Amino acid sequence: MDANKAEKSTASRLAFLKYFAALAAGCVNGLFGGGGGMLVVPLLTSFGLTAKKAHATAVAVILPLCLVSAVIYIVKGCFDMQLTLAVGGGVVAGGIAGALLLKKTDNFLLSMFFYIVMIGAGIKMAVGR
Amino acid sequence: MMNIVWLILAGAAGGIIAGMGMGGGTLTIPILTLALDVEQKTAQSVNLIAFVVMSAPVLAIHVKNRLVDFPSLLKTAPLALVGSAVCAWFAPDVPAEILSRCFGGFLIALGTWQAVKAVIDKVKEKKGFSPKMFPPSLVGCSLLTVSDTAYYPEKLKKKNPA
Repeated sequence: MDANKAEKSTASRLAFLKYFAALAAGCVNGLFGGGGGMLVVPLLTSFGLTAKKAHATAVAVILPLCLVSAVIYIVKGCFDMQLTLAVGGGVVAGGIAGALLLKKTDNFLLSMFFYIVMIGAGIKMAVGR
Repeated sequence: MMNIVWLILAGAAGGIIAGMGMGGGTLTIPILTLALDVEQKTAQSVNLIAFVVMSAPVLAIHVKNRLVDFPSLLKTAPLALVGSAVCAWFAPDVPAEILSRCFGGFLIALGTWQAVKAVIDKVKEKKGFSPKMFPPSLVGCSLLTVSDTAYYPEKLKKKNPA
């Protein structure tokens, strides 16, 4: 009886944690203008989705967030037309290339390299210039 | 003019990582702020807009391929949407330096976590824990069981009655 109760309470605590994680991922994405997807994917995997489905569903979760956030940023005046066009063009071209490359490379080394660059950039930004 | 070329290249670098599903915005933003002196908030707005443009067609393809799990989407999206709307509203008012430092901390945490996870996955795979061979073996199994000769061995017997 007690064990059952305890099990139930941990289950509901876990469900609560997952809702909290969704909220936190949204906050991160709104505050930093990206990165929410990296948090949503493991959350979706914890619901039992395969890696492939989790990635696809994460795009569906993040896209409306980015749309709403982008509109808010523009309304608040954080917008640079030339910059957006140039970088955006590069992102779209790079995105297509990346999606095609994904199938051809063993990306363990590449992702390690990417995470090291990420940590390095993070240290530089956290310390400040 | 030269500047535009660098901006396009910065976007492409982030886009390649994003296309590989490793979180491209987390690379595009620091390239823009550290290397090209773009303001943190502006870099964030650029990244948001670029993501919307890039992932709309990607999402359409995923939906068509039935890779989007709608029950999980409904469980996650509403709260995430609320969180992002509230935080996006406050983000432009946070002083650039604080926002930038917090983003740096976020990058360190995320990079460390992902790197550790990648190493653990790699070690598991080496030890043979990984279900990486699962899909091909599944296909092999279904071929064996569903194919005519395996499922109805009497057919074989009829063909060669010896």
